[in-house]
Amino acid sequence: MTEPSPERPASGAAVTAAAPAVDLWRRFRGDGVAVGGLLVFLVVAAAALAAPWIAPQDPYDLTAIDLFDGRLAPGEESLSGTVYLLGTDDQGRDMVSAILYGLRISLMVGVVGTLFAVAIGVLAGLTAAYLGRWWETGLMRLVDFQLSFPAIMVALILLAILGRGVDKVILAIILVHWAQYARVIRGAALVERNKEYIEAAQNLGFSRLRIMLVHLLPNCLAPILVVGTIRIASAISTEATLSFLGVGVPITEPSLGLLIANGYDYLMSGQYWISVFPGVALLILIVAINLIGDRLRDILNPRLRT
Amino acid sequence: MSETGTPILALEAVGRRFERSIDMAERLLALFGRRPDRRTVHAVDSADLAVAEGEVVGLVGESGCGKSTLARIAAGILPPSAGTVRFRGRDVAGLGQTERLAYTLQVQMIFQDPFASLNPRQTVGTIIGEAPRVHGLATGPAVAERVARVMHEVGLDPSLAGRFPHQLSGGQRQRVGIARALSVDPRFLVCDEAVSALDVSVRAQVLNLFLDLRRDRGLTYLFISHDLSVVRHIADRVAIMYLGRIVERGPAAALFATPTHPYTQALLAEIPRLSRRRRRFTPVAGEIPSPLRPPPGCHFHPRCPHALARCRDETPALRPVAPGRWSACHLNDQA
Amino acid sequence: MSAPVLDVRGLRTVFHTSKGPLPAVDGVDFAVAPGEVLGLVGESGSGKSVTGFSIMGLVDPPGAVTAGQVLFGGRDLRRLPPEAMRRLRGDRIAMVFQDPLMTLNPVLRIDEQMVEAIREHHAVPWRDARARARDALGQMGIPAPEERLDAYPHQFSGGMRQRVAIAIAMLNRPDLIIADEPTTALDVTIQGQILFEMQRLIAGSGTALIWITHDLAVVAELADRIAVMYAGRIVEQGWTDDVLDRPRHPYTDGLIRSVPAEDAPGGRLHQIDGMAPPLLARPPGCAFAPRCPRALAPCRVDAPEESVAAAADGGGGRHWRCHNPVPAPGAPEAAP
Repeated sequence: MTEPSPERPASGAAVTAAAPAVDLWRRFRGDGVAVGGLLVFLVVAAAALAAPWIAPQDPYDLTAIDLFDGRLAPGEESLSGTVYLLGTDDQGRDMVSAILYGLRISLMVGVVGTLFAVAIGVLAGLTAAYLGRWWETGLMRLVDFQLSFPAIMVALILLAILGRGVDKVILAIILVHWAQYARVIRGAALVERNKEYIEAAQNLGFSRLRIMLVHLLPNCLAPILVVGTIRIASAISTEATLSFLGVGVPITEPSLGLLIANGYDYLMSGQYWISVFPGVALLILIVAINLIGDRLRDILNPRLRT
Repeated sequence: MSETGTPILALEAVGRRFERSIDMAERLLALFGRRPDRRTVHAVDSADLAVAEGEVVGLVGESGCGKSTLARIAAGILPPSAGTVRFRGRDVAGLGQTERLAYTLQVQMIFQDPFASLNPRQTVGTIIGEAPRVHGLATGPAVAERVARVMHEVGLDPSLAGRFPHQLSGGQRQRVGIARALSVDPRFLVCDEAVSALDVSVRAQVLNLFLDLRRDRGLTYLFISHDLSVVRHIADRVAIMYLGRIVERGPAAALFATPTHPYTQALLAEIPRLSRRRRRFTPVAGEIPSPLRPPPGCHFHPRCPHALARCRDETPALRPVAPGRWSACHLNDQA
Repeated sequence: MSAPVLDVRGLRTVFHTSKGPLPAVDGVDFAVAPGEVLGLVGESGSGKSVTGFSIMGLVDPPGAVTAGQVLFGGRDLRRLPPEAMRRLRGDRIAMVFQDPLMTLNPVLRIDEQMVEAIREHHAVPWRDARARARDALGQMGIPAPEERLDAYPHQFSGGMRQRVAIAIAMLNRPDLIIADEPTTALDVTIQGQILFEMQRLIAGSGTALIWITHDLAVVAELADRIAVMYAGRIVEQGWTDDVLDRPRHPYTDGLIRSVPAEDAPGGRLHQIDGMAPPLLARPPGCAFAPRCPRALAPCRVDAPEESVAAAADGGGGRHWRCHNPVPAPGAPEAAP
């Protein structure tokens, strides 16, 4: 009678061992829309990264650009005999190359900006939720303050002061986006903080840093992943808007937003391609990212699990 | 107290208030003369409880009585807002960092919810092995050995170490929680409704495990439950709580045989029993009051069949009524 | 036994999952007579709640009742068109849940919900329906029912909310109430109050009651008959006294013995080793065999049929499903 009765490992398909990440990928894989979005995003991202090797022309190389080739319609042959698939802009730049290089900048700005904003937001939200007291009050009032202004206005003012530049646009994106993450993470962390496993961790004498990083953070990752993904799209469109308005990236490093702005003057005269094709590229990128984020949210929502 | 020697853990006049914090809007309103509604809950109100080494003390009460708060104060998770917690005679508030860690590790808590009490992102092996590794109780391969040893001790197959909590049954999860506590070699376990969420057949297994651990490791328990039949089975001494106060305390056998406080009597009458068939139910009157607005005087007086006029105004003190038995009721004065 | 209100025969409810069909209820037979209280006892995953939902016709996909009859007043509810079933629910059969918020609409006042529940089934003027609602609250021991009618569900305590839910279930004097763990989340003193009101109400109305719970002690005090479920099947049923005092199925026997005895504190409790089998991987033969101290070779091969007790064994529809039942007290242990 004194022998403890080891519970046998539960058998059956329901308990195949799987790490949460593996499990997430398995469920993501089963979703057609999510996989489609991811494929489109990967293709676009790969094309953008490979731009220097696959683009027909280097749009930064002024010697390769001929002003006489300016504003050629898609498929039109230039004087030198080159066919421009998507036409050229007013400088005579090949639109395909311009879009590929523009995607590169847009993606880089969006991803780098989001990564930093997530890092700052996670740090702020996590510490606010776990440490509480004046730190939480102060940080969250700052977040409220920040979020009470339209993001684009904050960014515009900032860039008006700092001037143009890729680095400055990234800085602006970090500044207008971190508060969103801080709020989301704090919300998630507040829920998790009250669960018994956090009390258990305190009871085992772990340091606050350890509890936050090893116990709290991994359990707040789901909302970070969802919001982070969707917010990359929003960061990209923020950059595009800023560049379109002429305060974003400099003309020497044209992003998609700047390309759209460049073509804007010619839109009414029937030379649609200079604006529309970069616009379509931007649209595809943003829709793909949003689809991934949307599906991630469904997959990670425990209430929708079957 | 009837115990001799220094108790391993003593709560002396321990209290815990929870205050709703006042937000910005209310602070603004306060400027215009509207006084903010500072709702204070006395979750625990001046509780005295001492646990001797090797003893099992049961703490019984219904929802909102403060037993879980008292458990957390005893385990060192929540600081008391009044009173003193002594571990082996020393006030834990005055402990230095290393002594504090030693106290924290020696008093471990077992939680109610076998789902929420395990980190869902860690494997069973990590959950159990983290504390010994972090605190240097074991290093390298010794961590895995220690994990396997405590898993075996709580009746878990060590091959489950690679599983995640959601892949285990409720009973297995609760055993993981117990193994996690045992991994730091505690002397004292605070069990907060530790078997309440388990199925009847699994509950017996886990209760037996607690009894085995008491015998094999000489553990001391503070065993908190709303289930009187479980407490009667496992506890040497019992304390009954109602709305933040301990209303009766004494040796389990005597207290269950002849309860002195009317609340204890009501509670005992209401425990469902297998031996009682087709019972004519005769209920205790009234609701459990909100801890936000407890009745004045003796908190139980609105529901008490023997309430006197003074019960409404005067809080009865917890006083000895027989050797080892304490009760907080004005009726004791009349006998 | 008079003609039963409810006669369930061979009920089978299967949930279709990506990992295969999951038989939550696997051939269940029982009957409830008018005014009778049946305690349906089982642990989590035993299929006791799904049985209740199946009778009510409330099993949603991916689940489905795939076999058996649910005879209610002689009519098979499984053959009833959905509209007729909807009219029956809340009128002749009602259900009470563990969480009363499952049936109470948080944004409607109590009187609106109760009046609606009456007028859904009976052409009564609003005023009369409200008066009936008030009386129903009063009968459930809710103080100041007139004022409480104007309250919203969140303004009630947990115990009061459950009383409201029961009052709503009783509104149309149903023939049968299925109560699924209605007092499990409540404190013992509050549970006692609700059991008291419930007992009084059904004694007055002749309503039959199926009380689904994991708590043997509660059904011991409340039920006339007990049915014990394990892994989707009723393994034993009969009069409360017969089942609890002379259990024949080893699982029932183990359950009863694992409840801490009042007179032997500190001793080791009887324990049923192991755990309930996952529904997807039920062992062949008797589902309890891997945990059973009395298991014989055939137990692991053939699922035992239901044995009907001799009249001497108490009647009351006494059955058990076991190849090697616990011997009746006084009877010698038969050589296996």
